[in-house]
Amino acid sequence: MSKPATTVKTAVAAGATTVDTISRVTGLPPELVTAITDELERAGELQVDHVGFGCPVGSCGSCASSESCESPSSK
Amino acid sequence: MSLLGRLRHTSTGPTCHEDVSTAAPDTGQRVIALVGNPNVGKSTLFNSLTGAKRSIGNWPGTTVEVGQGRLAGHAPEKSTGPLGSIPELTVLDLPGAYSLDPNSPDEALTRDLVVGRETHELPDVVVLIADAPNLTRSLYLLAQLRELPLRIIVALSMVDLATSAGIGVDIDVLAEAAGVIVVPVDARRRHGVDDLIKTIVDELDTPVPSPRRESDHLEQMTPLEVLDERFAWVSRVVDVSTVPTAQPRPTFSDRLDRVALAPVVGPLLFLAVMWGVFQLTTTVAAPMQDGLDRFAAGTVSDLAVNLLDLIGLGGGVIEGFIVDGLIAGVGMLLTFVPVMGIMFLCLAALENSGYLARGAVVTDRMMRLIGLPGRAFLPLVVGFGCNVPAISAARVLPDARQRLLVSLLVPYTSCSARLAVYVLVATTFFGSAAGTVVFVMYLVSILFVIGIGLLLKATAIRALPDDPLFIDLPRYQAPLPKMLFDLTWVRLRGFLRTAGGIIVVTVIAVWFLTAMPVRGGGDFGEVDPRDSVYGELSAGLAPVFAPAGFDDWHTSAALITGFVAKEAVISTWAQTYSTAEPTSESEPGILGERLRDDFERTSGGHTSAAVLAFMVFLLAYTPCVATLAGQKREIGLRWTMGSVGLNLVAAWIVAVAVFQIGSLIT
Amino acid sequence: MRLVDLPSGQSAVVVDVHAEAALRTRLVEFGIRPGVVVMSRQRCSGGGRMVQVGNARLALDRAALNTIDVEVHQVETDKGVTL
Repeated sequence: MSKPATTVKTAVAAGATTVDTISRVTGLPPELVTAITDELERAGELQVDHVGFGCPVGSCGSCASSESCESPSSK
Repeated sequence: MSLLGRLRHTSTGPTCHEDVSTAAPDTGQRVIALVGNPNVGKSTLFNSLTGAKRSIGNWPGTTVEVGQGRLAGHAPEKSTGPLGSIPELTVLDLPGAYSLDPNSPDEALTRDLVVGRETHELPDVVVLIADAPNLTRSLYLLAQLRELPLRIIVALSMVDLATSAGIGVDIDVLAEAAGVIVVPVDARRRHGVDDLIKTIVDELDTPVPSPRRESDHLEQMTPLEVLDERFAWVSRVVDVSTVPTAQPRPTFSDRLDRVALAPVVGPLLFLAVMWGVFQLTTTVAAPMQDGLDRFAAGTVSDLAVNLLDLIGLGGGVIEGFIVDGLIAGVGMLLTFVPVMGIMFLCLAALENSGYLARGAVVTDRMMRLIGLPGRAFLPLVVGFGCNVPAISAARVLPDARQRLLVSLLVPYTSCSARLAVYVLVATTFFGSAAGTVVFVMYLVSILFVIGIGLLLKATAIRALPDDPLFIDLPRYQAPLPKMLFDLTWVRLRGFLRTAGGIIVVTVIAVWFLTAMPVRGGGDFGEVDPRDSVYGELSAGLAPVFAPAGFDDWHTSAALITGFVAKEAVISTWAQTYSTAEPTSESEPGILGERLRDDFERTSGGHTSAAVLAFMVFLLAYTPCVATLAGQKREIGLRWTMGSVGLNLVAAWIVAVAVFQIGSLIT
Repeated sequence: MRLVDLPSGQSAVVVDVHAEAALRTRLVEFGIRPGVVVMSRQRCSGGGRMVQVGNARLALDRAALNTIDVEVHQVETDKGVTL
């Protein structure tokens, strides 16, 4: 795939909101999608909603939304 | 003085919040910077690398905590020997960072140390700690670091963790693909640390590698493009160096490929897909085209005529120019849009879904015959729908000479506009055998493509690269609608810009020539077709076709407008015979009768041969103006003119041959 | 044996690559070099093969496949998986 970042951005614009969905729609592995969304956010190309409230600090294993959570501490 | 420069002049010692002292001369201190994502075991490794003498403190002028220590096993000699003092090797443990584009002061420091600095200010070696279970994330930093003039070593940690998670990393492949030395380490158990130290020391003596990038103009790219490039690189490196530790199971893509790449079924499937594209284009585009045509030639034209009458400019030259020239020209341009749009959309879908790569594989062998790679099949098949997008489709080929060859061959593919003429002619002259005749024309088209291809390969376009087939097959994916529309719109816009002006100008020119009287005393715009400049031109041209059996001015007139668009052949015939256009292609009506009479006359009784010769000539003589515009854009004016020349010569020779041989038989 | 003869579904280790410089560089960029495990997935129309290297899939024609020598090993890993 020659333009993975553009593909992810397009997928998000088309309505994919979680890493899982983006991964499924684009065919890119979830790890790559996560890395790309991080960098897209850094570059200002994407707005990521970090579900920050009510997060157990340091113990994301018990969190139900840890799969779709974009927060760095959940990785 | 730079921060790192100041550091070099400091002696290490266990102090916190130290302020650097200057003045000590450069003792040849070398700096090794440890970088990496947070939570990859960097600090543990730092401890293993530095032994006893280490300190943690704020980097001068910042609130960022940095570890600093001497590389284990490399204390300076107590005395200075004949070679002077042995250089001290300082290890810096920089805070975790995901990227050199900083999100925090922590990351800003790492960036500060490696970006935009003079060589002597840079760390002597950068050790990037990457963790195998999160290889993609770790390697992004490497993608950035390799763009800088740095010596880089990758320390790969947690390899065992990755293996038990089902992902094996092949260190050697990783090193080769990434272009850096990779040392596996397990800091907790001290495996690999000695290797790493030795590698670091060895690396210090090597020259600094020049920055490595995938493309040369990184500075002029948008942030998104830069991300695309870096991640495409990371993705590729990770893909080739990670091996599933369990037996590789077939993915969904693999199961599709069982069919798509299969020896017999594969090519058939591809033909079916292309046929489907072709059908889709004609069935969906045709009614749209009719609609646009009626709109332009009917509604808009009537409106214009009425308006002009209103302002007193009705009738005469101006009305002719506006209605028969400008509006007709723009109308014709618009009728191309549905075909082009749908064709581009289908092409984009094929590309995006990943199926195009499979198509290239299955058609490869066939195309090798004419010295083209499998991908060349695509533009040629598109050409059977419409030549115009086929020229643009030639861009799928990576090599310029291959693109040239394909662009020269596209005109010989029989497009759907030509089909319209064939159907009319075939039903007029061959009745129930019309279908067969049309099918034969398609075979002739294929023969032309192969024949001209071989001819060109032997003469004008020699030495085509003979690439062994080597195609990376991407995973199948559902095409993204927005991406498809973007791609389609960009290509459509390109076509309109290129061809638009030319089509309109040509239609206006034809109108002008038809309106301009030469003899017979008519006024401008009121003249009989035969008495116009256009009529004279056509009559003058007609004798050229005598050896081919159709030297009548009506037909040469039609062929001249066929230069603008093949559909115009029929309307010009109708115009020159002063009859109404046939209401449907399969009911020629009066026009058919007139054609029969004239062909009978010019062919001396060998009507069928002459008709076939005409159809062959129509097939090959020149593509429509829009195609020529596309050719000029892709291969330049000279090659385009050469192409037209070849078209005319080849078409004439074969048409004459068909008539002469046909006359002998019938 | 040559990679062209590796049966579909079988994995093997690359032993040698005889290709000339340009092709060999491209092969290496995609991970095909001595010591690497490749898996022959299926035959392609035209006589080539689709081969898996790491997670990537490549379509190679007979000419390219003939330049790659491979060896089939029976190797037991910790999990008892054989190559």
